[in-house]
Amino acid sequence: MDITSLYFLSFSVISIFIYYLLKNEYRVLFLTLLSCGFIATYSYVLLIYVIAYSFINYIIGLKIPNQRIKRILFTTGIVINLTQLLLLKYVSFTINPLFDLLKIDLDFTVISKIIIPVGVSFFTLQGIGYLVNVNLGWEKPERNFINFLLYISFFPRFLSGPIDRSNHFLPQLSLNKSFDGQKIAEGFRLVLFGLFKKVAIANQLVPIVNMAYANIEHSSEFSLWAVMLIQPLYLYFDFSGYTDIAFGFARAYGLELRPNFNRPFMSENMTEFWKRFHISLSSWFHDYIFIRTSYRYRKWGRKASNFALFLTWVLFGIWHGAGWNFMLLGFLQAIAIYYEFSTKRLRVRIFSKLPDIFRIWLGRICTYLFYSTALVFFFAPDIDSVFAFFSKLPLLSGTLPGGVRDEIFLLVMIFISVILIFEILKHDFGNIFDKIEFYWLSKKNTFRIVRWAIYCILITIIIVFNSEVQQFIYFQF
Amino acid sequence: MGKFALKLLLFAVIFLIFDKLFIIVAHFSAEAEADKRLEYLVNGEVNKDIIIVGSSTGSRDILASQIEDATGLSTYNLCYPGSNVVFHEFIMRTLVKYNEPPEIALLVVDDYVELLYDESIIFRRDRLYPLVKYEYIWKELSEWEDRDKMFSSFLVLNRLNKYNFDIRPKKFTPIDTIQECGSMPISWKPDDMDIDYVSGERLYPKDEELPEKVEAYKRIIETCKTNNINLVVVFPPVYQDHSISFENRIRELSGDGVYFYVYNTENPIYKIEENYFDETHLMQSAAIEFTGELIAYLDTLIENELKIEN
Repeated sequence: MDITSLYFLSFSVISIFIYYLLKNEYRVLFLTLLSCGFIATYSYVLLIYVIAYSFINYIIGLKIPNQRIKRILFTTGIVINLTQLLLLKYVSFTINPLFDLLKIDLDFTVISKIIIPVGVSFFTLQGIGYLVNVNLGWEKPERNFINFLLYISFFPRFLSGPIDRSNHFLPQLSLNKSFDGQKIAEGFRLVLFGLFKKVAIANQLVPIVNMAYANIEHSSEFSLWAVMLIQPLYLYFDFSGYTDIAFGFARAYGLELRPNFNRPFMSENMTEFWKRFHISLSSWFHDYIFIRTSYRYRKWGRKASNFALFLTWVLFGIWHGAGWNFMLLGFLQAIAIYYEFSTKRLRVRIFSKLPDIFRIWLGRICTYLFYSTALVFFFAPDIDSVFAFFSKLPLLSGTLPGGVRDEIFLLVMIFISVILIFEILKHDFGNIFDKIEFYWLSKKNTFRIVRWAIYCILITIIIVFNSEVQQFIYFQF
Repeated sequence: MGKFALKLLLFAVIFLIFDKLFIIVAHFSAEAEADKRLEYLVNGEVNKDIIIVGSSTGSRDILASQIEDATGLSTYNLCYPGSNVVFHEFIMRTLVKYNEPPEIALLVVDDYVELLYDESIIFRRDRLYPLVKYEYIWKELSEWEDRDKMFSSFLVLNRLNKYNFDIRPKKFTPIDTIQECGSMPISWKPDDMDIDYVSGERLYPKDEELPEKVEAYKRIIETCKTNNINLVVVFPPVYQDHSISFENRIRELSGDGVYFYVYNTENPIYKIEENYFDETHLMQSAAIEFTGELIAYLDTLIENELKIEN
């Protein structure tokens, strides 16, 4: 079911009212059933798979505190999680080439064709995170399977995250949630802004990016430059749009998800950028890979953190997909962060002499440009396409990218500018932003009329622009 | 909760009223169009003896007014550049739904991509967008756009597309100027157009046919049979040798009761580059010649088999 469709939205709004009409003890079951229904719209086999996956992790989690078999159980759990991820997402990159080499006539891609592994990369990290937490004693095992199944399958975030932590999500389920109109209104507002970002901005940029990558050879040099500069915006508005929708619905059900975006284009370096962009994923890798690896090899001294840094980011890249381009995407991030870390003192000495505003904006622009370049590895279908893309950049000729009408492109750029101006205000001029927010949320009738008028305009734009369904980029993971 | 639900309901009512204002956009969007052919069709204003359906080859290569003058039968060209057979089926379906069925329908096929994947020929949704004020059109669009008919029935906005908001009057471009008879011949040629003649038989890849296109083609034949329309499948000239295997495949799919007209492959004018705008479209002078040949065929057909009175 497409989450930008009017069907899904109406269905979700109705479900929120039913949810609050139910007694507290039935609400988790209700949300779990809704989530199962949502997954079943993609595939019944996937639903059965998710239930089985949740059950295995639930049982392993329950048994882990048993000291005698703790280590074996934990290792088995991690192996099961990684194996299923490998079988569903990385067969063409790992198992099939190995079988080819050994001349074994088996094709494992058939598994992913049957199951349709939607959301698998996201829920696997949640499953692993839960087992690690229980193993380290950071949380007690969940005793209620329905609660655990909801943790894995909660429908607003099932497709593309944010990747939740069991010790953040599960405790919320036992809280008594009373109907809070203001919170639900906040949730609906987030859904509305998320839909606007996805439908009115990201979806309109899809043809430009897709056309360029589908035909790099015949795209003009100038259009490839333009695409390179546009693609961070496209990815941001697509993914943060989805996140806002997920957050909004979760909040309306009285649940809070872990943050995923925090004005990433205000970052002055890549280290900061990854604390603001896809936070739930980067913090997962930080907590469960970087910290654990650094700790494990702590005897190596500085080398341990360097090793952990590169390992973390290469795995981060591979998480995005089976291909050398994704691996290089992660490796590039590691190089940038390593460079920033090892030259920090020198850079501070040089740049502290510059006026603040110049230094800050130089950092932001450089960070944006670096990320724009790195994203070529993300969007290109394979490594050859990455080289083809970069080989055309030294020239600067040709026409602007096609795929969308000029007036629509201009309108989208206006939408982007307005949102980015608000982000700059919130980040750099907090007092002005607070004032705007104060008036925006005011209960006076004049402001309410303005607010409702803006809602009407936003809904109008969303409905009119939503004529063609475009999948969320992170849906593929 | 009741108060919140009431507030939400009030907002929904206000939005529904706001939504109805967009009927004006739907109206002006249709008004602004330069190509009115589809609107004539939906309004039941295309009651002709001969109808030409197809893509750009049909619109450039066949002059409906010339056929009308020569045969005395009213003729109209409903070919849309860049359209595919699925769109042609939609045109035929709309034609018989709202208008008197013609005596003859000329279906111009694209050698040899008619039933294959080709990104240059599509279902021309852009031709439907301006006409969403018609229920028939927005219902058809709903099928193509993942828009739900139920929501469209009470939400005007759900019928609209972003392009509807460009209500500036549209103008014909030099290449898309439509004559009164619906044809769009080309009388100018870009200087840098350089094409090479391709000779030899091109084997038709039947395995690559798209099922939806094959189905659409079969439905056109069915529509014609049901409405007693004499269907003539026309193979227009292209700047390469005529593909016999493609022609055979079309004949095989068509079954009995369908007539076929293949351009005169012996005529040397179809091997002269100057007579082509590009590989698949004739210049106006050659289009007149081709239409003349087609008229000769139609005359014989009308006189010997169809017995239609002028």
